[in-house]
Amino acid sequence: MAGIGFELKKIFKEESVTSLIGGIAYSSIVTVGPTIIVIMTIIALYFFLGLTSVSYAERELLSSTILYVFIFALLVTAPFNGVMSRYIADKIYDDQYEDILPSFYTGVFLNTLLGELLALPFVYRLIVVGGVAPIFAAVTYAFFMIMIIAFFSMIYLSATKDYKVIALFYGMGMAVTFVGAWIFFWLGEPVIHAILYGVTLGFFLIAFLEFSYMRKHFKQNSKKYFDCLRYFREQYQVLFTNFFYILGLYIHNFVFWGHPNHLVIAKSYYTMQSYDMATTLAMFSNISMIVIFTVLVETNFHDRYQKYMESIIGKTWQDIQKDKKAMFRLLIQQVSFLAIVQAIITTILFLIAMAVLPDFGFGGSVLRNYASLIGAYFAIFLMYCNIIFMFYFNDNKGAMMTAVIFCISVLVGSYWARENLSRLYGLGAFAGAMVGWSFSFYRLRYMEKHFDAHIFCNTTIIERIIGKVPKSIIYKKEQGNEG
Amino acid sequence: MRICLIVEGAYPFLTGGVSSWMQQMMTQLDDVEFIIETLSVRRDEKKEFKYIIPPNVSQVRELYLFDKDYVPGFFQKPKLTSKEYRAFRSLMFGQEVDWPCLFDFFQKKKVSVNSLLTGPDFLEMTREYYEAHHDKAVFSDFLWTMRSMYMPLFLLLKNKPTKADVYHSMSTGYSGVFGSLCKYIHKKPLIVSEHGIYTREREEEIIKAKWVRGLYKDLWIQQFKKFSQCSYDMADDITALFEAAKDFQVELGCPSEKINVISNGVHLEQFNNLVPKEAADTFINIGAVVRVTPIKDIKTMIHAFSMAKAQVKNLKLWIMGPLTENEEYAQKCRQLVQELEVEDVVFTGKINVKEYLGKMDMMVLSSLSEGQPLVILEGFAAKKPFITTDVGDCRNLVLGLYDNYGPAGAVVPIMGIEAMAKAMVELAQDQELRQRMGSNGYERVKNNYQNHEVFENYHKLYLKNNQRQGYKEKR
Repeated sequence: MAGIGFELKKIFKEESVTSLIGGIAYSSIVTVGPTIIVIMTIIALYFFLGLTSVSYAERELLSSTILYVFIFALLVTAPFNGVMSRYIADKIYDDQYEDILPSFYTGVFLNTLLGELLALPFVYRLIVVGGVAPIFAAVTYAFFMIMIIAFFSMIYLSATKDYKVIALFYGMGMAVTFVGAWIFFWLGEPVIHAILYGVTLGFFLIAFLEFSYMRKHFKQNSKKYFDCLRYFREQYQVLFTNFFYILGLYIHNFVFWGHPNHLVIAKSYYTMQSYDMATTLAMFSNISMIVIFTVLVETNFHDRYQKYMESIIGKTWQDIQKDKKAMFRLLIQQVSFLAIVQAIITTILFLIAMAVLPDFGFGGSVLRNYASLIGAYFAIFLMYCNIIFMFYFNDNKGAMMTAVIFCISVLVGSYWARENLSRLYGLGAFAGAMVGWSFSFYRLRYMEKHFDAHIFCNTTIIERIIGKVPKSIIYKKEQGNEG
Repeated sequence: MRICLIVEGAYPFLTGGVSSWMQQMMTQLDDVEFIIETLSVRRDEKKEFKYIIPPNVSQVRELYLFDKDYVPGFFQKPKLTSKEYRAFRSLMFGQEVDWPCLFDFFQKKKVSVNSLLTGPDFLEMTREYYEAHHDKAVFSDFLWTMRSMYMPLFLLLKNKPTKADVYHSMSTGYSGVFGSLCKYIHKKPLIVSEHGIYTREREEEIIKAKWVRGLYKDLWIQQFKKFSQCSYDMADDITALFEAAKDFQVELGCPSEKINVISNGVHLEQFNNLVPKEAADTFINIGAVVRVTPIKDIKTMIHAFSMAKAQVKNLKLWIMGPLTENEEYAQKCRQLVQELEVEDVVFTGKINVKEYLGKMDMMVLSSLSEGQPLVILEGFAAKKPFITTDVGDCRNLVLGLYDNYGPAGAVVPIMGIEAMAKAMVELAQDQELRQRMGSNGYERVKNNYQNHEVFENYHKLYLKNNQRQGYKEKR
């Protein structure tokens, strides 16, 4: 996210309240904007196309389809996105722009290949076992593949640092979704078909626009299609961090999809509506933390970090220590500030939700799960911020450990909650998230304590060879001169 | 009796004083078995043997100062014990270095030099040293210099020493430290011979060097002083070529009771039947048996020759020695000859000196640093007068400070172009003087610097040490 820093600094220059609001608004658009636009569009479609009038089973088929496509597209792209972001950043740093386009093609190939492996058996099951209309299943498949490409393309667009254009593309895509769904509905398609086709069309446009923008930005192609593959080995820690973090975000849902009260749609989609809905609400009650964090890091912390890095290269030990202390002091200040501000926002949102949601038909179980999950997402996003700091400090190992511990803890916690609790199911995920956050916190403290060694010792001075030293006898009397 | 000779950057790949001396000694002491540990820079460098290995040498092994970091399959990241930490710290601070502890560490543990140098312990001691002495320097430069400075030493200390009855290092420096390690591990005596004063030679090199700047020059000089101190402390016997060298060693911290002065020597008979100058040769031939390198200061020689040639037209300068050791410098010397438009300067490259020596009328040496140059002794053995700069033992050899044979040439200051030219002219214009001085030199060598006597002294030293107990814990 290094790119938005510059824009933000322009906005924050005057340090007035208006500029603060401006900065937050800007960050909101570029970070969570697309997600919000998508959700608003789908809700609007539900409303306008009268989805409430269609049968519960059909309505749930559409909801489950969209839910599954989103979650699994995120999961498929997660391992690729972190690694490829590194690749792109390095290539930009080395001025080797021509290697970026081939890596995109390789990435799309690998992503969609993995997507196929998941999607094809599932679509087959939908049609044969679930009795879903083949056209609906086929479009679901297309939607899934398009989402994978759209999510993967996002990292390339982020590299162009034109965040505004991402939001614009999503806006355009959703407009097409809206209009498209209307047209299909008008042409006589059933409501859920019309919405799915519209959404698919909209995301196709987004993926298409992203691709064309990228082609415009990275014109040359070195045809080094395999060059990026080594990054999967070299940056395996980043790969696992991203994958386990995203998996951890949803793994508790997977666990609850196995709850006795779950819902099975078309004999294929397992969901737990009260839990899934509460998850979405809890996530959105805390999502502003990512926005605030981005603002804080990109404006202040980044500068302090840069100053420290410069002092490492060209200053005395005393200066390095001074800059290090200043950097960590700022880090603690920002994390504390972030936690306090978000706690206030979350509390307010929680109170509003508790007051308003029953009027929209949300039942007690949703609200109880929401109440327990809201803390989980608070901890998860705080942990995510710590992971970003670890990436700043090049502590990929710490980031990976955090993600893995988080994911496993959430799995264990939610499984325990499913088996042992009769309400407040989110407590399991909350416990797991707290474990993950605690680990990340102590890892950062550990880093602070051992930071000099981390910075100065993670290097190689001579190539290490595992094995015996080759013989170096160059003359032996019996054998004569070998030299 | 098996003697292990340890030599740095010389035999059998490079010609020069130390290499020739080794070859002569090994040939002379043919009842002694020798093995050679020769310190080189890198494993992958292509090198040629410049000597025929004598039959009593059973093995030559190369050790590398810049090598890959070979580690066994299972090794632990080096976490130093407090004793080891203190030993490394003492090495860095140069205060009563605990070499035995360091030797044990590298020989008995599975050490990755890379992990050690990039590890937190090394960082911590570097920081301590930095804060104590150089806290205004850029820290990362300082750290990397320390790492690169200690890397060759640590790589060297990982080598397992070959067994022998007596170890004999041809200098202090890396070979002196490795000799000390051999002595410590196999509990056998160590002799250190200094042909030049290693510490001083390195100091001169570093002061002039462009690859190292500012305070780092001082750090490197200190490093070599530590090596010499290790050699002086661990050696049972130390040899110097001449009295002034001994004084220098004492000044550098060598216990004087360990020092034996054993001069160089020549095989006189080998110079009896040299090819003489042809009658038709109207030139006055000045010979210089030198490697064409900056330390030999060939440029001063060329300048002096040019001045002398202006007065004596039939002078001819023969620069006899390899041009390949520092090709850039050799090229500059050739350029200088062209710029000065001086004729009759011949660069022969590497040749058999004995084929040329008889044809010379006088010899010259313009070195900036020398010990006790064999070329002067060889020149005297061929009855040639010698003009030399006042370095090492040259003054004593030419003027005979401890005998009555009379001067055998002229001694001029370092870079003393005019004095050298003047001496060339004087000798060139006076044949009788040349003959008298040549004869004085011959008498001096015949009576004081004969090869068999010199090597007999070494033989005695080997025998004495062979009977001696090796390393003792408390010295």
